[in-house]
Amino acid sequence: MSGDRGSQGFISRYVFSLDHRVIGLQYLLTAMAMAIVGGLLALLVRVQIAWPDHDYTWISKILPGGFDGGVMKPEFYAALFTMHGTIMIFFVLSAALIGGFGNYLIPLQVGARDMAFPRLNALSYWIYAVSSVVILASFFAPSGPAASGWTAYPPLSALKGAIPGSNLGQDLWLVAMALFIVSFTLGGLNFLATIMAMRRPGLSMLGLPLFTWSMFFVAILGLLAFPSLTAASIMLLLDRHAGSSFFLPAGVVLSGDLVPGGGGSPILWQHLFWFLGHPEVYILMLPSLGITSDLFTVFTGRRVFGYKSMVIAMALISGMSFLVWGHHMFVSGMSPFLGSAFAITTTLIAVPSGIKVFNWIASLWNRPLRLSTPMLWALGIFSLFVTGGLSGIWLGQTQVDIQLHDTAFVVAHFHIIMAGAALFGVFAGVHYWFPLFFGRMMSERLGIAHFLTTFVFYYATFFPMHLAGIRGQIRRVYDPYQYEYLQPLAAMNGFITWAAIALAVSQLLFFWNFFTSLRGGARAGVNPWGAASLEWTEGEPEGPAEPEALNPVVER
Amino acid sequence: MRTLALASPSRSQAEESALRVAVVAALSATMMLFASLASALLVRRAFEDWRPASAAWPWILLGFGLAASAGIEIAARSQGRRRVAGFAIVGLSSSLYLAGALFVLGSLASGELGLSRPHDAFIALLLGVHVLHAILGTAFAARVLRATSGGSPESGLALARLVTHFLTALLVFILILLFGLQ
Repeated sequence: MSGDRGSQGFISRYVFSLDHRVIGLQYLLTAMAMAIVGGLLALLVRVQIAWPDHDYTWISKILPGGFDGGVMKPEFYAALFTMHGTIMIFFVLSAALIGGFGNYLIPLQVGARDMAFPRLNALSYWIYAVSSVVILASFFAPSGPAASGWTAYPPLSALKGAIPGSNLGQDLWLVAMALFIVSFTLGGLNFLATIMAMRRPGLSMLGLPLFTWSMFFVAILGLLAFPSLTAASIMLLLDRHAGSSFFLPAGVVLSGDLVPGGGGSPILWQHLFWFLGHPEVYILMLPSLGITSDLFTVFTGRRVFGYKSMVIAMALISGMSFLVWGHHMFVSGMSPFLGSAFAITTTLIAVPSGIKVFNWIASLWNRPLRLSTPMLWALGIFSLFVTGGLSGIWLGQTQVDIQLHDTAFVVAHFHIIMAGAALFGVFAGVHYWFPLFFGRMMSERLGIAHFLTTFVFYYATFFPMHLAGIRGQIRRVYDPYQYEYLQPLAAMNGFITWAAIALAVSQLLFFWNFFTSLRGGARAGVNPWGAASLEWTEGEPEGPAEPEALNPVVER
Repeated sequence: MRTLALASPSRSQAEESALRVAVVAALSATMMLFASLASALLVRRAFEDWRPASAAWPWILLGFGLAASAGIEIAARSQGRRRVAGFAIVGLSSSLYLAGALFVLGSLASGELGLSRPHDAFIALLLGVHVLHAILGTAFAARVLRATSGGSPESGLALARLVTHFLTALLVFILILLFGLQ
């Protein structure tokens, strides 16, 4: 703990705190608030896809800038999916899993008193908070928020005036991303330093819970992958404001006028973006995989099968994630030989992923399962990881990907494997560590109802998108039914949208459970789940700060 | 389950070790940033509008960078007045480097063609990012030297030395990229 809590005022204790636990909860609560925004944006996207001609006068009264006579504007639709992707990937899932759980749990699980650099930790949170404000502020930009997709492909993102969102909104997007990267980098340095140097003596790396291992790899991934987006963002800013042409090709015509300069390469942006973009997938997934493994240990009563191979699998996944970015660019005109190389490396990632899956099966095989809410979420992650992983093998092959690229199939794949597994990881973690965070239990009845409805409606929302994609439904299209061949998909899209609405409504169970349990939940004991990891041991962690530290005996 | 017995810890060792880990991690991230920029340059220079330019200032800036590295070596390898002289060389050459680099950046930005020429744009990009890291690195080195001056100055000096040499190596790298691969 940093400082004496009792002598601190409210502001220094809960707002500008240096305590890793408070900072972790700050991240978690901020991410929850951002999730509400990101989720509502997703609902608007779905509503538009299902019923593009419908009159939404009542919504247009809340968001007058996005509608014209009750009908959503195309540029607003583009802004919706752009901001939904950006907010959910970076400001919700990365922040909750890594900033939230990572900050709260790493020091406890390694037996340290706090993060190695508490001030840097607080700075990291506040930079994240500012970046969240900046990205939200872009909604109030005169011409609206960024609308070039969460991938921000040039020339749309490089040309001011290309579409309304290419103006101030795109600049704010770039500034928010730059701040987020700085925040993540500071956090990553802290995670690595804490895990490697602040462990209790005697606690080896191979004594750490798999969640902490996942944070270790996530920190390395972030530190080595985010610089690529940093570089690309600086170059894009220079293209937009300093007259350079890193990404702007020659011969671009905007509103009938030839754009001066040019000669750059939009494909270069794609390479730099996806060099981060694919590791980012694992930045989101590894924490969930770590949580799942640890929960299988707790709720089966025996250590997860193949602990060392789980660590090795995470290391291999992390390392190989730097070798597969090209599979996002199979249709960019790359050499077929290069495409084959990326297809091979992508397929090879199935090997360490398979190790994890088979270890999980062995962990569950013939063991008594305690199906408490956290365990249900862990099983949900397992299901999503397998389902999404299988469609990933399809998309990793050039022949299949070229057909399915930019269709709803891809949307289905990444929402199941990346977004779903990460989101379920957040729920698993919140239910499991809630007693540690707040000293109370969340309601099991509400928790199970939330899990069942979320699980069913999540699949109901995203599984049919595979079929829509195979039938040719392209993504990011304002009105799919302008194309005759997509008109038969209207009923399916209506079903998907109703399922998405039901999914959103079922999240009210979570928020109700969370906030009512803060005060009304049953009081939790010191170790309500019977876990063996260090965070559940009673009392303050001693860490390397106390020369007279006890010699506790821990079991992993 | 395996049982682990935990022994007594040592705070200062852990803190020093944590700082070392953080510095190495930060330098790795910086290296990746420059690797990304370098890969972009290597792609862009293959395009037909690439017109490399030559200038004298890179060698002057390189001289300042090398002088900073020499100064930190003198400080690390000696005591007393020679150490102070080493630090003075580092401070002076770093200041001159920053002033020179900022002058070059200003000249490029205010020039008639601005950054419209790809080679100039990359000079501004790489030099600008290096200047930013040089400022951060110098501030870090000064802080760590000050913080460790009372206790274990050698550990602080080792980190400052690492950061200074790293920044000089980066400068050599970007100057070779910009002017050595004509």
